[in-house]
Amino acid sequence: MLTIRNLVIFSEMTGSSNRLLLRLNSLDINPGEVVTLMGPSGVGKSTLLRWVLGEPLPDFSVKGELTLNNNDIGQLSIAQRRIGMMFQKGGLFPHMTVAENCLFAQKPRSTLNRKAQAEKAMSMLSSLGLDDKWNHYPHSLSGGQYSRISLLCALLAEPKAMLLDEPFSALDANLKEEVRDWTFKQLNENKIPTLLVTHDRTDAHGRILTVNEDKEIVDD
Amino acid sequence: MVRALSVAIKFAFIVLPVGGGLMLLLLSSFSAESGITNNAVYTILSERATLVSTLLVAVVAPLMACYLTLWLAPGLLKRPRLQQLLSPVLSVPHVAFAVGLMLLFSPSGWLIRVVEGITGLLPFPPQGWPLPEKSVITVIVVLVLKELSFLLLMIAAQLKQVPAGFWLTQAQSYGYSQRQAWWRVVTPELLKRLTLPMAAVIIYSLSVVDIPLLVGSNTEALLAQRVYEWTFQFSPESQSKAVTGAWTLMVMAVLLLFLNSLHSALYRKWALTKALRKQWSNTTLSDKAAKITWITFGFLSLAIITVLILQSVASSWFYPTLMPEALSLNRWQSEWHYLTEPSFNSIWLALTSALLGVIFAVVLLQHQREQKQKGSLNVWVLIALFVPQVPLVLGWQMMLGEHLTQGWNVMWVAWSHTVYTVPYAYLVLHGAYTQFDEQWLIKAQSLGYSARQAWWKVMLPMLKTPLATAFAIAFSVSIAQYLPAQWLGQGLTPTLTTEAVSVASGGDWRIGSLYALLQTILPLIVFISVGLLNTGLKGKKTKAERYADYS
Repeated sequence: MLTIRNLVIFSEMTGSSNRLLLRLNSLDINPGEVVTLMGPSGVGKSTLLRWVLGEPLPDFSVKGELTLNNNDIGQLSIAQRRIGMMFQKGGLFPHMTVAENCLFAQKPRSTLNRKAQAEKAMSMLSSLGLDDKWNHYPHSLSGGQYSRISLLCALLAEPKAMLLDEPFSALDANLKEEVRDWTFKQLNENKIPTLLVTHDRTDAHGRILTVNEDKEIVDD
Repeated sequence: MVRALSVAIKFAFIVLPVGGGLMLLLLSSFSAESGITNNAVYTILSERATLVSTLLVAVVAPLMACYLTLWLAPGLLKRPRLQQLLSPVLSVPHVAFAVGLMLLFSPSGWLIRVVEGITGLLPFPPQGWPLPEKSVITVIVVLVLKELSFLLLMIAAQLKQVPAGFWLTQAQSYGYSQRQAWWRVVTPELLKRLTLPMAAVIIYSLSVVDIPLLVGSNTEALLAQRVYEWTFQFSPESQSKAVTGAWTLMVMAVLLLFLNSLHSALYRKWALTKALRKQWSNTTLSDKAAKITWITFGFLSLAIITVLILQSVASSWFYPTLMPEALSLNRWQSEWHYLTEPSFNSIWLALTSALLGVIFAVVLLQHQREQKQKGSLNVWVLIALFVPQVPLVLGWQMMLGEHLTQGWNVMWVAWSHTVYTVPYAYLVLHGAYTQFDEQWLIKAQSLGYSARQAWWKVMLPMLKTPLATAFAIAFSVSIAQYLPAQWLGQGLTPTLTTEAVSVASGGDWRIGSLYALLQTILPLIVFISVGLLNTGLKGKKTKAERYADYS
């Protein structure tokens, strides 16, 4: 379970006092559950995700408690937190083939040998009908193929929670629904607590949170 | 018009110097009097120490500079302002850098005096000091430190095109530490993009003459240095050795360029397959060491300029005192007469060749834009940087023959400097020029301006910053040229660089410091002026930028 308590994010202003950006009293995301945070651009949704991921935020002052499966992860590095990410742009390294991307994602954490890692990635690709893309570079993939393989790589890194930032916004309407349903099914089957951030209501899933006038994150 | 100009520039500053130079060298190789002979080949091949030292310098110095640069480069991501410090460091010419480094690190150098001052352990200059005044190691150290700023500048330009920050975060979310992510994800891509700059660094290290003349070993001279010396011995046998040596350098260059082309692919393979050690902490010992190296690098650049100034005004300065016992301007006054002509020559040559270099680079880039070849660098424009300078300039000398003795040598020296300012100006301008958003030109034309007016009134003002930087770098490239001024100038066009080498290689570091200081100050003035101009431009927006803001 991913838990956030007493979170306050200020943006640091030069020459004046800090400005409150976002507040969150308490949020629990259960294994397999998807929680969607909605709101217009600039309210600090992505900043919240970056804080959960563990990125340094030099222009912000952040206070709050973050636990994953009852372990305090607030002071850990990104690598130690075991939180996966799938953002609007990127997700696959453009200078690596699909195979290299899959193997690269598994290397730090997997206990399997290289051959078994390749077999695991290949079988997941086969289940998507994308095994013929094994030696392709990301630029040759279609939007839907790219999104699915991107999530597949994130899952191969064995994350214990997942962050999604506008992950479907680059897809066209027909493809969006198909990829979205597939993504949520995968996350649910793998029992991964997921925080999704979007400004598009059609992309929302599960419990929906919004930011009110007092900059507080509340249930919609 | 642009096409015709582009063809003319390519002929006069690429085809003629590279093709013509090498062709004449090739023809002279078959000359009965001074061509390649078995005897000359045997002499060169039997000089094992020279060949080994030459290869050692050409392989070790670029590789060390490359990996040291890559190790330091994450600092550029965290603190982009560091990039502003690089250009002035880059402006310190190699020769001045070598003289300054000697004054700092030689057994009686300033830094040794500082150690003695603090610890009292070295009352006499140390014997067996690892950085003796003249050795292959010293040449490598000078080249590594000097190439560092060039490669860092090249990486800084590439980091604007590669989403390195995002890649690092993504890889860390897979479980890599920040350093591991840097070496395994970002470095393979950067190395691929550094192939051409690295080729230039390798060729420079292979054929550099002035640095080994100053700080290289006299007993195990590098091949380029030997060729240089043979050309001044006028016997047919020496000329034959010079031509044979020049071709040996060419063969080495081809071999090294081939290896360089494999470098990034080999590294990529290693990065993807090598086992991973667990390393969780973000701030590793390596990060701290890199930070200290950045500070040391900045300190070293400042210390070099300081020690050159001190040495130039020191009337007596015996070991181990930290500061000169007495200061005076006597040395400047007594040398002033000899300094004026080289200074004047250096200034006008640098101004002319830098201006022409930037204008020609703009023409070539404009032609490239019109041909829709936007993305990649045109290797042919950079070709002069990939041919060792010794055989090339030797070929020019043969090609120009009598022209050099009929009063035209000054013009040919300016031409030879421009051959080198064009590729550097092109390298600096390439990114900004080819990626300039076409929309601004279309917008201006929709307001009634002709295509030429739009280029002049919108595009050029918006590119003022990279144009000014390209001019400053081209200026310092010209100031640093040694062989073209020495060989084509026939001794009639002395520059600060030729004089600094001739004075300091004779062992007079004190007089050498005057030339080295002037050699440093000239490009530094240009860099500071460019910096101020760029700062001014940021504060005070151009008409084009104001227009951009409101449109």
